[in-house]
Amino acid sequence: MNASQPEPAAPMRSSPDGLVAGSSLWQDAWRRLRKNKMAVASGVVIAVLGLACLLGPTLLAVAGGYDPDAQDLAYGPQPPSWQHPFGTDFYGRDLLVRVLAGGQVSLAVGILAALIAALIGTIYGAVSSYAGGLVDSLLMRVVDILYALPYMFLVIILVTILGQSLVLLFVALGAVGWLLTARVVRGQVMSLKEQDFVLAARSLGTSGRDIVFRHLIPNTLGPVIVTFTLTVPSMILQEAFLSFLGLGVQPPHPSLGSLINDGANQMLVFWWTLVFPGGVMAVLLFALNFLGDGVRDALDPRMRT
Amino acid sequence: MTGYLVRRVLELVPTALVIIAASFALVRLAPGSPFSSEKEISPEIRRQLEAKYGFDRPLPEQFVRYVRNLLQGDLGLSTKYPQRSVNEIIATGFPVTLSLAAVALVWSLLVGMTAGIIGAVRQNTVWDHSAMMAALVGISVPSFVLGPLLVLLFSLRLQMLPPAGWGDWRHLILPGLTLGTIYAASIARLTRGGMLEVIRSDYIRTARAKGLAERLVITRHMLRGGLLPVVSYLGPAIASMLTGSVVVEKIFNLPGIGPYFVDAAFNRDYFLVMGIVLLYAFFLLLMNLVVDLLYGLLDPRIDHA
Repeated sequence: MNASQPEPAAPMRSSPDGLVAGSSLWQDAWRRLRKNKMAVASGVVIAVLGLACLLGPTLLAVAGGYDPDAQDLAYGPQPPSWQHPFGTDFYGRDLLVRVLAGGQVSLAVGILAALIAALIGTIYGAVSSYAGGLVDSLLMRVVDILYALPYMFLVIILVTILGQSLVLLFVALGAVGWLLTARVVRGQVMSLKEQDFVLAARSLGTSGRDIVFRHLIPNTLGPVIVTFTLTVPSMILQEAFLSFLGLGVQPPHPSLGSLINDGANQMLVFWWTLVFPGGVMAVLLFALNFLGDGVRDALDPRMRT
Repeated sequence: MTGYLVRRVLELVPTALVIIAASFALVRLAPGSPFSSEKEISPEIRRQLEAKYGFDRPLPEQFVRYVRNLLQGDLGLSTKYPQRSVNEIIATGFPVTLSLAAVALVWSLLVGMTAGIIGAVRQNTVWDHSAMMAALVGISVPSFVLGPLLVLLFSLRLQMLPPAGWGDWRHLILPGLTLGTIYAASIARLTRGGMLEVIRSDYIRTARAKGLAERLVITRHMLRGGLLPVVSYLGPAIASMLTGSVVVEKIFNLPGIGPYFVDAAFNRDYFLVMGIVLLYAFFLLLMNLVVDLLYGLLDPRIDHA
């Protein structure tokens, strides 16, 4: 993967007046990320897949009249062909359109759930750490307890309670997925809050809320972004997990998880119904994980494993 | 050490109470009732049923009664399977789930640590790169894609192992591999990272300087460093193995506890849902305790006094 030799220092750019321009943490990270060829390739793969999922179903519907949900039982399952590159499923629906539409759901749920998790986790961790003392120990005890719970079971209960709508699905996933972010942010704020700029802000009479939201949280952005990028693939995986169990996106709408479930049931006869959704899912997760690793290495070389 | 153990066990009591109360609230405050999803029943029969399970009493009273029964090891009656107690259902299903998780754990530790050690010892060679690439692939292929593919290969093409069902140990191999691979991949990354942390430290140099065989340096000294992150990962890993078993049991049609849980959540089978959640939560609390104790044994610098 990445060589673990120490990174060379940022190239010094001389400005016309002879001064050396500095480079910010973000410019530095961006430079490191761009040098990581695999991470860049993963980014391209994600961009292409994302665009295909976002625009594909609409384009195919307008241009070729493909409908992800319209059934044609007489047509039935057909192997891949020029007309249907991924073949068709048991109900004669074009699998390519269904995979793209399912990918849309997966990406949307993954990103939104990870955003919710990051939001809750950041505020919770920062407030807990800044408050300190008894409040901190109580709040972190809650995190410990939730950590000990088989949390996918909580999601299953939440989904059966709240009903199976897409919005509730990512709220449920996000609502239980914030624990790691909370821990990471708390650790960051622990050391940040002792620093002089916080003291300075406090001596100027800044309220506790402003210190947390204006001074502390912006400084934890690096680790939060790293956790976020690695949360997206795990959220996508969990959405697929739920849809595989029949608890996620409901038919006739496709999701990668439910497509894989259908495919697994008929893989002996109609192999393409498993191979294409499963392959797209694996490629998507692989690229997201790789990009996540790359972002981590770029933003915080010390966190490298 | 004994003092630490006693303190940790005592700390479990409030945690356990919170978990019981929270899951009780979550399950009971959900809309719907165990008798609403089934076919229409007359109000008299419904009242009788509610009286049988004690649902006609006020909630706080039911909660006290539940906790009192729980202390005597009685998890109550299932509403979906009227002839069976929750204890019976768990007694038949949990051993299957547990043996599945055990196979997965052994597999993931064996493969993961081997790959991680190779990666660390041969850092930045082809060996390292291919081991880590394999690990990333392993993380990215969800169990519900891997499982059907393994069945396709080993059961249907090679006819080596049964594709599904429950009987002897051979029925556990494919499910175990399916469940364990993703953790093997994480363990490989953690082992490698942990070993690389210590590989250049003074005590390793000392061990080499006193003429210790390289094999012993690796197994006795480096591996200890590599094991620490793995051990702390085991708690969450076992937690998610138990939940992941829900999907694997479905793929391989194993009579474990997972399928019961999903059904129970749908049917509002209150006592069964509670029973399974509590079983898993307590099991996880126990595993986390064991992991913490193990951590202290592995790293004498951690003082539990």
